[in-house]
Amino acid sequence: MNGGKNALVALVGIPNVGKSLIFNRLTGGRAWVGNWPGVTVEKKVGKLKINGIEAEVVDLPGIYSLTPYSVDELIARNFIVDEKPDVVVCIASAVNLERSLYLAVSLLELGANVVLALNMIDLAEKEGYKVDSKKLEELLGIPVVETIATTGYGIDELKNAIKNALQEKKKLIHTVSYGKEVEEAIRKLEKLIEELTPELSNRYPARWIAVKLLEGDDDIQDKLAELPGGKDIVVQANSLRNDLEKRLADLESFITEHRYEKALEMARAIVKRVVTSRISLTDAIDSILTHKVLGIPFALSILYLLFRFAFEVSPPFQDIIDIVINGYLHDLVVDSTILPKWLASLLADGLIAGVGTVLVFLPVVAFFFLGFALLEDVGYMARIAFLVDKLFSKFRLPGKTIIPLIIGFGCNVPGVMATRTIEDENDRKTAAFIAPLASCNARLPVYLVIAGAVLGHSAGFAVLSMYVLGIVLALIMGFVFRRFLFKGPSSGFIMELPPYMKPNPSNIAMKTWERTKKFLYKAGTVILLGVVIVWLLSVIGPAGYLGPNNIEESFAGIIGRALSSTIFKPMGWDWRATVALLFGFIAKEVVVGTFGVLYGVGEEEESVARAIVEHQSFTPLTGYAYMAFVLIYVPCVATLAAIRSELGLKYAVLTLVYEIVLAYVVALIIVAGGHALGIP
Amino acid sequence: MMPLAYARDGTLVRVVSIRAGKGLYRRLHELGIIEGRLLRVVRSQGPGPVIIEVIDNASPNRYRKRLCPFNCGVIGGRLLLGLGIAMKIIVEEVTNV
Repeated sequence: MNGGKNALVALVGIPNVGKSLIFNRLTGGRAWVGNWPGVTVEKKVGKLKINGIEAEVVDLPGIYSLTPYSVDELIARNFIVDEKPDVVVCIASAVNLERSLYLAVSLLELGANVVLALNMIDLAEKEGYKVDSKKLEELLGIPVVETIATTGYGIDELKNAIKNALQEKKKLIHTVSYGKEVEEAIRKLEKLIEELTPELSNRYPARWIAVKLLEGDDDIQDKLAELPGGKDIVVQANSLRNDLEKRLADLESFITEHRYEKALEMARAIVKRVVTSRISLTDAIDSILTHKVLGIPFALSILYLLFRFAFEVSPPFQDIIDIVINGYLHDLVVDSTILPKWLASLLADGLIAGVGTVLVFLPVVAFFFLGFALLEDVGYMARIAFLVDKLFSKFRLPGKTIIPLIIGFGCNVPGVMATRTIEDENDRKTAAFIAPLASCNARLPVYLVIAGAVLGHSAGFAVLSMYVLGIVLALIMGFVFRRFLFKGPSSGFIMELPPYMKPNPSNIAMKTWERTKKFLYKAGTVILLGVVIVWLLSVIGPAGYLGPNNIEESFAGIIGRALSSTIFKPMGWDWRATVALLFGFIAKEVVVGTFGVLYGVGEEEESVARAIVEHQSFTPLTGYAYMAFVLIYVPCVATLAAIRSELGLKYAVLTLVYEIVLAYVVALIIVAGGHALGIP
Repeated sequence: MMPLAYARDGTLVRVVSIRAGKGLYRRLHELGIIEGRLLRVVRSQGPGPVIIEVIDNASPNRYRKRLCPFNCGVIGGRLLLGLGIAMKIIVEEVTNV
């Protein structure tokens, strides 16, 4: 253990092995999230208690090897290499053995104190084969524990194995040999490393450094070059490598292949077929869901169902929140006699009304994410990426980009954050840039109110067209950004395609909560701050404090009028519409509420719609243009904050600018095009 | 010979060469997509992204006899390769194993 501190346990595994579930099982679900130094990838840490021993457990991102390919993998590798956890729990999948064992072998080479959890053995048995974990234990020379994370089977044994590993002294296990010639070179380098850079060989096994040098690992070369005597080693390693490559072809692939061959050999040795299996269920389902022609219509139906589910189930919950916050709490503050008038107004009309409007959407967002997590958990989301890849690649985007966009339908904030799993740096940035164009739940009430008020029979179609418009614009802008801003070829995307699985309730609950939490966080922080500013603008004017019901004379009203008589003049929106847009910066939900306040009719959607009709604020054409503008003009403040934390301030500002310009252009095209066609 | 992106559904192909940069080349190797190895094309949008299984060259016949629809003679789980990557892997169709 590392001197007196709490013991440190790291969880690693290839993607889709049930790592998060094992993490939850080990820590009892209590985890806190921090950021890795220097990057925005979340670091999940929990506590593990085994018979009086306490250890900190860190959940690392899914990795295939210790040679990083994406940001996620670099983090995981650096953690294992530099932090040197006391125990590394390698979670292997019994239905994806070879790749799991490749990772295990790589960890052993590094000299990590590894415990292997052989997860999903139930699935293997269902597929008709048996995995001999005792034999694997012998072959690897480390403890192997069979687990089924979904039921909790084997978790106690795993805890015990971790405990034993914490107490035992680890021994270096020599797993893969690379043939006579390479081994000779490794030995030479090993000796050199131990002589010239003892400070390094004390921290990592010399053999590992030697192998990495022969593989041409840049990171290790840089590390060595910093040390006195290190340069000589690099020179020697390069000459050995050149020498070997003359005889053995590319040394890096030679080494990878040997390691892979070893993993494969072990997998063959421990897998026994017991039943001749039938055609797998996954194949049967996939023959329809990934069908060339039928796949897309099915995907659209499933997504439609997802929306319907979220919207049909949430109204009762929304009503409760509405009654409690916008009714009871609001009235309580307004009617209170202790508070000064301005403070009561700030609390009631600013904070409670603002945050309340956002919180009313909590059920819709939560149920949407619940449905999404279900689709994700059974393994359907990866199939959608497959279905759209061809179309997306015409816009220079990888198919994986669809996932942040779909999450964005729920709430743009987790949508932006979901771009992290995209490996290619340029692809990832582009995805984060266009993710806010997905029409989130917050925009829907604006569409409903305006379309309901002025578009009559075509209202439903108009609302649907907003979702399509969002995706079309996302594709077009994606192409533009990929072509001109984030240039360079894409390294493409690879995804593990798991067999369809029975959904696991606790896994779904966890994922739903993680995303919903981000929405709540947004309501509690950025929006809270935003509403205070807006409230100030709406109650203060050149004449001083005006109270809550004189928005027309306030700064907000003045700015609104100025804008609607100048740059928004071509669109024909009145000053109220413009003021609502200003307030919509905070969150799109606020737009409807603002209309309500400006017409003096409250926030009920029906009454707002009626007021719009009475005041003739919009024609069908300008109303439709307004809907498009609301879709595009700016993600809410919280989304901008998310983009800032993902890409930096510069890009957040750029998103703000491009979206306003784009919204203006699209709205103008709609109005001008409509006029040209003779629509008033 | 053709890029993997052009392979048809249900065919068996052998990897001939991989035209990728260092990082991707290595990653594909780590996933078992190595020159000479057999792949089963589970799904293709020819030309487009593909879903593949890597077949263990040592036991292709077990696979052929349909004894092992999943993960027996198959290396690891199924992989989805985007169009970009599927274009970089050159394969030839195999009719007789």
